[in-house]
Amino acid sequence: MKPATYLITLNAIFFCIAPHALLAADDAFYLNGEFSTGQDSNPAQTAKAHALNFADVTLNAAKNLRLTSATVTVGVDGWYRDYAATDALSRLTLHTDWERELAHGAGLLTVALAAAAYRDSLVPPDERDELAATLRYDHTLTARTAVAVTGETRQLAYRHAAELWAGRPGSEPRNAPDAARQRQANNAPPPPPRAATNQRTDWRNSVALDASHHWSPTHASVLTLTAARNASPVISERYAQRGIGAEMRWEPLAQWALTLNLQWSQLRYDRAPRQQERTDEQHAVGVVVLRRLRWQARDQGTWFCRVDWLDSASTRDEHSFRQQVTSCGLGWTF
Amino acid sequence: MLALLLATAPAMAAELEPVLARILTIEPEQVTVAVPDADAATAPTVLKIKLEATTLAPELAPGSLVRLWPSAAGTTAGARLTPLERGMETDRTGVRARLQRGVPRPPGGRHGGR
Repeated sequence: MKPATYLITLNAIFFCIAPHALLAADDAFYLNGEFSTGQDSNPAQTAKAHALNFADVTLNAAKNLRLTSATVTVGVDGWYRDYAATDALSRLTLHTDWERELAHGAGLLTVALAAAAYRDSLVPPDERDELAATLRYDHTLTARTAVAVTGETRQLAYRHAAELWAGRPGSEPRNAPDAARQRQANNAPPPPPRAATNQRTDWRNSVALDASHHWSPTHASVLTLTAARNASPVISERYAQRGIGAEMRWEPLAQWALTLNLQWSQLRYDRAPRQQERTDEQHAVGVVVLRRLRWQARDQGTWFCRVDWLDSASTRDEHSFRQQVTSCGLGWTF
Repeated sequence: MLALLLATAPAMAAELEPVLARILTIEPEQVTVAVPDADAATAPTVLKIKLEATTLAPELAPGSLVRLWPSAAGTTAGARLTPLERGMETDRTGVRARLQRGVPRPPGGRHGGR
């Protein structure tokens, strides 16, 4: 049994027994469900895009246990995406969060542990089990402005290390054997050397800094800076990443909200095949329009439509791709 | 849209000055909050906010710290309560998740982001 499997099992056990072991007078249980459908122009993120329609189902359940000086949350998140073809993606996450207010409530310290299983029949080499430990501190400077710093270490245990390049950007889409043969016939660069072992466990360490400002009850902005380092036994998968993102929210009408996301990210790989340098630059834009649905004086539901564009340009052309994901759906909190 | 957001935000910023408040109770028609006084020795001010003029995010519960926006007249009538959005549930629209490595297959993430 892999370490991730152990932790998933332990987390599941904790999720089951914690509500009984840590009794609190005012604990709360949340259940949120979401269904959406849309189209992904390039689900495998390959140079040659092949659009697919999809349907998404998301379920989140969490139980808050309010202790004397802290809050413990145990939860499970499930996400399933079914493509029009036979492919599907899924992610199951079990998490435990410990939160404590500091500085008379202005600060919030969070320690979180999570275990996740990601399954991907479209790009099997992406399938992995994950463990993550996160430390986050939020500080409310004023009623309008807040900052947060997050540090995370994440272990990614890939399940198919020997199939590293199948379906990835730079390779041909699955079910396209003719194109693959043609590329071989054209003397295209061979795939990079594989790791000496079939085991692939990456360690990804990241930090993020968020700054948010609320201009009015209906206008807010969030600026995010990120930096990450991925260590991998596969030399060509070692990279450093830096990024900046901005999010603007606007509520032009009661119950209506509009969100615009802009992101830039650069991935600098340690080494690429044939001693070439590889640097990827990603530009992303996202627009979300949502309508809140009130039920018994609470915003229990949401209708939403969103469009996300991603342009990933690489110094190695075969790794460049573009993607547009459009979806609309309904979410509800029980 | 970005230009519109930036153009309208500073003008609206001068209208209202929010305060932090802690939810004491949530009833079907109103929410009772406590607003700490600047002088820590003074007892916090307790206010009752009618829910007919505001909405309440589902994650808010007694004990939650919220942002209280008075109405334009500076009263609790028409005041709005908004969550602070802090902790692990803040990445609602996935900004950080997508920064990690594209959509929808970043290396980590709840909703593809945790």
